[in-house]
Amino acid sequence: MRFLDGIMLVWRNLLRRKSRTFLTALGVAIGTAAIVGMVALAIGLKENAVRSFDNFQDITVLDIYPGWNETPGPNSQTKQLTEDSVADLKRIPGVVGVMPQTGLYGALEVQMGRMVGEGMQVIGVDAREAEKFDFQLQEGTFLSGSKNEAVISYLVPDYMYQKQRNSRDNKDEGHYYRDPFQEDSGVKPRLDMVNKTLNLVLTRHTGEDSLETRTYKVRVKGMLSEGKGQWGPIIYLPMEMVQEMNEWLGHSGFGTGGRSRGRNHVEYEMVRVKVASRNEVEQVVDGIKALGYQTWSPMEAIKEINSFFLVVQLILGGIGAISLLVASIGIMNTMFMSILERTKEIGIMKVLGATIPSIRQMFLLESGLIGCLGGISGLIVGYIFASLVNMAPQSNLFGMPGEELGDIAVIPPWLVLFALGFSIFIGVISGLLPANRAAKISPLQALRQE
Amino acid sequence: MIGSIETCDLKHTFKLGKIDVPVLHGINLQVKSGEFVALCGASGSGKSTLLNLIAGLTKPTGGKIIINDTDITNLSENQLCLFRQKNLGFIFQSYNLIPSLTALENVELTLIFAGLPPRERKEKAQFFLELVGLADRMNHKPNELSGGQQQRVSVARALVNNPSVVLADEPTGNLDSHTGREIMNLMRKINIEGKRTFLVVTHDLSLARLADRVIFLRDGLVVEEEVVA
Repeated sequence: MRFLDGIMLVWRNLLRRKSRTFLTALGVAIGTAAIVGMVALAIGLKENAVRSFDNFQDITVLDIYPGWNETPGPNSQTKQLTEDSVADLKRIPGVVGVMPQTGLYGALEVQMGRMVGEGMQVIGVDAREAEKFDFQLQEGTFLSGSKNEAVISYLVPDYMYQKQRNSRDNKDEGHYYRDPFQEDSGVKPRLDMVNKTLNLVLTRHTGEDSLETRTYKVRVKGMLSEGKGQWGPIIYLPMEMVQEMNEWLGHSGFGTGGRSRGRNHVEYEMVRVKVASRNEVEQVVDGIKALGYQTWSPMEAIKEINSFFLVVQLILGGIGAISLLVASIGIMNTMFMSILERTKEIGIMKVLGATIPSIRQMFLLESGLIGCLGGISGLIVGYIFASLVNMAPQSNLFGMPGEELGDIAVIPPWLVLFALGFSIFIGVISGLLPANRAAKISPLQALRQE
Repeated sequence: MIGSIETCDLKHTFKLGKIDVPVLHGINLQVKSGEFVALCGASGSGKSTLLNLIAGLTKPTGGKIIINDTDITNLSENQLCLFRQKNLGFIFQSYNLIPSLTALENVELTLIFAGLPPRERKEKAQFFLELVGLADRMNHKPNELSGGQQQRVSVARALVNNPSVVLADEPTGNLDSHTGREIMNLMRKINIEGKRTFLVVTHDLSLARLADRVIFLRDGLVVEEEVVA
């Protein structure tokens, strides 16, 4: 018997008993809908939890700090971040870019015309690696590698205020602080700083009461967009410039207070590493720790979240599975009924030359089709459930303020395939016993039935 | 030989509870290819049992059945199904059409199990329904057809897989004598024109006389053979 002919025969049989087919398939539909709905909910909640980490910072960017020996003593050595470390880090598989960073150890005032700003973080970066970190720029370009350039974070203009003549105490009058968690009211126009020249003024103590200042002129090449990891006013400068500033301020390198001893002994406060993809983050973290440096990745937290939600998925899916089990008993019952009803027909078919495999195939097709019908309707109900849940007012359960919230229930393609496949599988499995019984029917006895 | 039926010392015993009820006591039967044979006998004489054994619907308790040079006594159930599909046609007393299918579909069903492609089997089914005179009733369901018409559908169904042997169990039993004679004539016509062997069980002697040969059974034995001129 051809497969399509079998489907056609079975379909007509199902249509003959519409209400029974409907009720049996309904059982499967409820089970499938329960599985799809529950698992979709678990997946959606998990994705939201993971996404809030994503929004907070780029997961593929790792910050690496010098490692320290846990047993302090004369032989204890801290694992410093140097040029050599950069080379080592680059060799870890999965690492795309390595960007050393150094902070400024002193206060700095930013001047632009009549506007001044204080309290900005200054970070020296290696501009050569910058393009691998895909900085999102609101305006302009990132550091090109030439001297006396700067890139500012989105919040820098908000920290600039107009200097009051002769009264530095009243500076707050002109300063408007922008709450980063509040939408820009748009009342005051933002200060345009891109392609302008800034004076960076450093101050150091030269004696008990004497101060000395030094001014660096930099040109602002670009401004980063708001978003991931951009919390606060930051000025990015070329690494060499910050090192020079630190030297002038009386610092050099981190911690030791010593001078830099040649190119290879420049020590960095922190090195930022870009990983090719999320999947490789864990492996890179392990590699970094093996080298003896300190790092932390939200991936570790996400792993915890994943295993927690896997349990949730299993529990919720299990509830659905129980209802599918009940549905499968329903299918079995229906199939036994239908074989009882059609005993004579089966007998006729056997006399007409239907082989035992084709009889079995017909009944397996029938129960499989019931499962399939139930699965499809269950999927539809599951989709409706998911969209209803997603329409409900979204709470900020896992979210950071101002962050975009995703759907609460998510139905990925694999869930659709799994649900459909599983319901058909359940149908076929439930049909096995009845189909075997049908195949064993003796044609002679079947024909004697009226 | 294709179209021949032969039984050697065929015995069959029913079990009724713990009691063995012998039905056939050693039947030796020979039907030649293209012959039209009627099996007659009173009820309980074992004629239907004999037909069921030849059809492979029951296993004999003794003896051999050879159809188309194949000993079917030792075939498995599935092999018997395939054997019937390729070699045998069936006509029942109570037609045994499938009520949910139209006349055409009932005839096609045999070919569906044989795995024929749709167009081919539709053509064949239509051909045989026209042959039995039901060209205008093809798309009717069995309950929309008269008894005679239903039996004609069942004749078409029995012929559609081109069997060399057609077995009929009281094909006229549910019909009035006029219609019964029509069906008998139809089968006789197909027997002659299509050169197919027919073995027909009947208890109507007047109809049996239409056959080439009439075999009488009594108490599980062949008691008389009559060749009709």
